[in-house]
Amino acid sequence: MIEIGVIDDDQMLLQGMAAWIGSTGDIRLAATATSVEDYLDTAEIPKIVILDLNLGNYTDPVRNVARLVNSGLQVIVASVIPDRAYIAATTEAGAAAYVTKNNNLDTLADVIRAIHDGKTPTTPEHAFWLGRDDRPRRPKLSPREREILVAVGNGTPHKAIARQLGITMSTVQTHLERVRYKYASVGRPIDHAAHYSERVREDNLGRERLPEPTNGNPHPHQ
Amino acid sequence: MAEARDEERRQQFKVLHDNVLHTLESIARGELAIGSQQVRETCMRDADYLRGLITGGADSIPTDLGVALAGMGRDRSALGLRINQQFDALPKQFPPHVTEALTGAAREALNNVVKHAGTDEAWLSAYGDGVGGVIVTVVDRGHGFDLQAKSDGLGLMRSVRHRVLEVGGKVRIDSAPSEGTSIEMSWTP
Repeated sequence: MIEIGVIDDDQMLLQGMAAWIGSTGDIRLAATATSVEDYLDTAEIPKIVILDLNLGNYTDPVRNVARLVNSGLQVIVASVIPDRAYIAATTEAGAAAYVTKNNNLDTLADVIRAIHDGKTPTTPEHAFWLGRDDRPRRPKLSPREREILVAVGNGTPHKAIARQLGITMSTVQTHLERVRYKYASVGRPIDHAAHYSERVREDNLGRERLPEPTNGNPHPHQ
Repeated sequence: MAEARDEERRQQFKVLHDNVLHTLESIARGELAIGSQQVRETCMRDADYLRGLITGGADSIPTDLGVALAGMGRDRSALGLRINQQFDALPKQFPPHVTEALTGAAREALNNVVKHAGTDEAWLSAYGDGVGGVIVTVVDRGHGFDLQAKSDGLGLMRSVRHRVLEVGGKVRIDSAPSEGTSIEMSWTP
């Protein structure tokens, strides 16, 4: 049995999640929390955690991922609406996978199993947005890596990509892993607040939804 | 000209948003059993449609092409096809007749998935090429077909191809038995 946790501030989603995950038979939702702090305070923390990209408490998604990763956890980032810059930045912060919250249980279950097996799965939606990464300081990908990222991103099965390019499926996988490795080792760890403000500036991340990094006061709810 | 287009866009938005609002309000009024298969499918379809409209970055605004593709995708979903929609950086100014041609071609391609691919899932992606053009792809992981052999798939492909070539675009089709089909349509000004 694979135990996972979920950090999300949507009560309806948290309630639905337990039954939903339970229906897989081999995955169990063992802990839920509405914030990263609360999750890390859990007595027995499941090692694989699904993290909502935009928690309503206005905490920074990139910092949330970094904190969980630094605590030795494997993070699946989930969002309702894909946001190019944040998907790229949370991938750099060490997220193991990105999924959209579109209730596709099969995809999510496969991602969880792959991570449990020590893999770094790249879902089509993850590949699509990494392929669209236009930040000035994005990792340098080779033309072949980009080509494969774009093909995976538009839903093409690995088998078809391998045939089109005249390579094996395991080479397709190797290219994807290299892309993820380049992101993970981009050399811009966020381990203190000063780094965070640097990244916001560098990546041109939208500030309107986030607190100013220096004062730490959340925006009032509208 | 621009005003007419704005008006058209408003109309499109109104019709499409009406559908989503209708779903939400019907549930709110307690008229629908929210656990039922039909309601769940409708909700999923509406969610996919809205997501298709809002994806991208802080800078992304709905475009004519994005709205047309998302609306078309929502209609195709009603045929029982789960469509993963991903749109990014579509051009803000885009010739209406090309929007119509690409949307029509994508519709044909998705119909093809429903009829021949033997799968209930497809991917519809579209993104700008940065110089005013777009790339639209329709991909499935179903049966696929042999591109060299005469088959049903090819007949439908002809209508996809025709629509795109007519407006000066390009089409690339790739398929193989049991490897699904991918259709890439591109247009540059």
